[in-house]
Amino acid sequence: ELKIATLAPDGSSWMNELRAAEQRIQAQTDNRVRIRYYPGGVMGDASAVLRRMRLGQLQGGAFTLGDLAGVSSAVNLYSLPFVFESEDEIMALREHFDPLIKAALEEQGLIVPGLSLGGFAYLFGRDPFPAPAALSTSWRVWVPAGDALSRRTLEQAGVSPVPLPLADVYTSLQTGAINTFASTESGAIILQWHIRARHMLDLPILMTGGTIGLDRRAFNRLAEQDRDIVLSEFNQALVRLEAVNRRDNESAREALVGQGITITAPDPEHARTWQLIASQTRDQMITSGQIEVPHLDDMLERLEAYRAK
Amino acid sequence: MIVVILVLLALVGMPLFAVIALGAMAGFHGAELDLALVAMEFQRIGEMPVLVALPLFTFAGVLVAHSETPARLVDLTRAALGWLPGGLAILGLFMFALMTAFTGASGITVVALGSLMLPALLAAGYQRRFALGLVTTGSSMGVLFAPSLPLILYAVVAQQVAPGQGIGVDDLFLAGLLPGILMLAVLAAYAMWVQRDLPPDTRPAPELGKSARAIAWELPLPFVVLGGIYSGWLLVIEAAVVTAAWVLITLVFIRREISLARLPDIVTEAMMLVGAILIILGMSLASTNVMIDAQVPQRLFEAVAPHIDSRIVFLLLVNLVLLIAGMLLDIFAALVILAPLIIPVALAFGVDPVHLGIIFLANLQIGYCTPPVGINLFLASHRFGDDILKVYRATLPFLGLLLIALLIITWWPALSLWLPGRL
Amino acid sequence: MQNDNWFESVQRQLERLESTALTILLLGLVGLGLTQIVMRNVFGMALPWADGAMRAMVLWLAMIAAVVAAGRFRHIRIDLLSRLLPPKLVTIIHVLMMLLTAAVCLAMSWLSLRMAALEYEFQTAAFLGVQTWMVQLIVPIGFALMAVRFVAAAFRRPPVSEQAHAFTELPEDTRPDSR
Ligand code: NA
Ligand code: NA
Repeated sequence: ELKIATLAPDGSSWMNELRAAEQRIQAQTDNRVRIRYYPGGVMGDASAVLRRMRLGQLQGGAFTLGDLAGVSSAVNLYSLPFVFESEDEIMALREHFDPLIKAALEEQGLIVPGLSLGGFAYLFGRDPFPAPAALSTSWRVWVPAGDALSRRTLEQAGVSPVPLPLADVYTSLQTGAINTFASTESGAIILQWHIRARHMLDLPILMTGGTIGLDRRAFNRLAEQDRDIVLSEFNQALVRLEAVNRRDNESAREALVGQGITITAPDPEHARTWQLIASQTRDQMITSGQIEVPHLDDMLERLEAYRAK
Repeated sequence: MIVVILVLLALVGMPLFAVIALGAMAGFHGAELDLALVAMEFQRIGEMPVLVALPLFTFAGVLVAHSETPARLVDLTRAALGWLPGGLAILGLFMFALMTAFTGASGITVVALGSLMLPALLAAGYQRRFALGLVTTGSSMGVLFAPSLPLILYAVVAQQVAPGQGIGVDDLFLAGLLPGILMLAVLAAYAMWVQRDLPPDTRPAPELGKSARAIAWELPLPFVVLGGIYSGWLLVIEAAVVTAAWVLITLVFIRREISLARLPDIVTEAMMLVGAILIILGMSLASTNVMIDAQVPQRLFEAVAPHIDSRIVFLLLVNLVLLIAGMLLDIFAALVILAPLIIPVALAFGVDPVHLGIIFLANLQIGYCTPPVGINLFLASHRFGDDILKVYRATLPFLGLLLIALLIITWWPALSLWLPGRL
Repeated sequence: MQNDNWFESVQRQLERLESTALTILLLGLVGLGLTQIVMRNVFGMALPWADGAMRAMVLWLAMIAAVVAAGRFRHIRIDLLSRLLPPKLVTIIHVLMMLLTAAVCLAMSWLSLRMAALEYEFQTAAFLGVQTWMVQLIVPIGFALMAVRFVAAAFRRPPVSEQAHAFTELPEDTRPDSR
């Protein structure tokens, strides 16, 4: 039996796809593999779920890529700030790099059937976004706790990064501890953060994504042929979810405009400045050993090659 | 079997936190899970933002109870409404509610305010039996008003067992307002009716201006804090900070009624309350996780559902269970033990979790003064030197009225849900 | 006799230390909260680390206070049977319950030490430079001290309560048994 926790509530597209996968897995393994879900966050947030997996209470959980950065830094590959300009660029590289990310996580004891991209995160704020040079420390920007690269990048850009756990973002927007945040279009609406924003900068910052992580010890206890069934069914669910995410973001973008949020495309010059700041910060941090990003050079090379085509 | 042993241990006086801890350990052991999970859950009392309000409000309440503020409150009450038939009783009820809402402990109210209010009522010509009943039941009022600790605690527990429901402390604060006022109004109306023939208090009342000036430092506090919370201008934690700072500055530094040297003892006194509550909460987080892991609430619902054919029957059953629990157990212990079990089942019956919270607390509040073992009955009997049977008799009419109010609160969800839906 | 005095003086010093720690933590909580309110309303921003620090302080307050409460019979309990049973039996039960509670506290101390060790592996930050495992270290320490207090309590008479409730919620000087 596999016990899997998710933050998504019953009835959400995540849970619907996971329940469908459960049905098929049970049928194909003649009930040898049973799955029990704990939806709606009753087992706590991602860090609690990872600890419960370590203690053997759970055998798996649904995670965002950011949740897993502490497990292996390879998950950061798609979520480096200001590297990709369009989703097509990532899609062209995934065939090569998805397996590398999965292998890196597996090495740390986490079996990942596949990755499901959740769309680019964009900057939301109360005021129109000026040129990077005109930014000041009065821009208090949320960064996920533990995301050192984003924090340093924002510092280099001259704003005040504020590291907070996800759960604190909503109140912090209320209290004014932060006034700017990055999120996908649908995420901003689901979490109700968009109420506190009037402007969105139409510049892709980083790619978000989610996945199912299974405890390697528990996974290896399954019969060999069952493992393949579990992996392939969960992978298909993740592929279907990616399509759902894409649709959700498109309709959320319309909804945001409908709610009076101004979506502005950045000046190409500003976009280049952001990319420059980001790549310089990244190189500095890698050289000084503050972060490591496996396969980065390889990926940047392939990205250049793709753009040249 | 395990449950029987645990109940027995609790009955012979084992501290409840240890009983719940044993239960959680037995549960994880039975599920063949690592017992370190108990510790993992326990530590979460250091991760819940709203719990920061607990020590601050409790400290403020205990500090006020040690000061002359309750005496000043009674003076003001007499000065303002001593002349009106039933007026002293009515204003007294509001004072009780205010005090209990801020301290979260009706026991403090009986002792600090009740001991002053009873003589005032008797001197004004109220019958002893009526005054005794009013003080005993009145002291339990206030649990439904912000910023009472039981309301905060219910929100914490509900967020844990039903995280997706978005149950906020602010929603509960708003939801409790009208039902709380209903309970107060019922008792106030009774007071006016009983005292309709009473001659007005002829004793010289304290002068209004003077007694108002005497309490000028404390009087604005409830308005600032309650106004701040209900208008959304103050977050719950900020309201708690303001309350603690205000009381500390006025009583210790401005009035100097409590010397700095006494402060550590009073802080310790207040924090022992907080420690006792939080350690039970921490253990109950663990026992709740045992139940979630074993999917006990789902099973309970499947077992109960065939026998209960309507939501209202279910709620009446809940009322019965809670009245008994409220009578036997400390309000905080009753809350953290029963809420995780009842909330998921209630959700499956289509009960709104915020409405359920108000029903929960209204019941536990009445449990404070339900014979034979409600705590306020014993406190009153002891403090005022009346036989316990006399206290029982004195509270009965009040209790009957409160039960009617409880039924209205149960049957009429809109009374609880109208305000949070609008603001 | 001299031993007794020495023991009592250590006991008093310890109690003063606990009270001081609680007072500092509580005043710190008030101070940090006030700073946060002023920052928010005057400067329009709040200290990002203050919330985490305040939560950590609540955990420390709770654990230290629970240790104090253990020494003064102030933990919430139901005490129904002690008035129905013969005094001798009550004493035996009291000793057993306190020892069993001490055992539970020891177990909790060990389990939470293991959790702190696991947390050390995860290396997450609580606030500013303070790691989560450092904040959580108070839990095993607190439970160990509570175990000591409960063992000591087993050999002292508990205050006689007059009814079925713990008097945890009352100021000490108003408790019926301190009449
Ligand atoms: Na209470
Ligand atoms: Na009670």
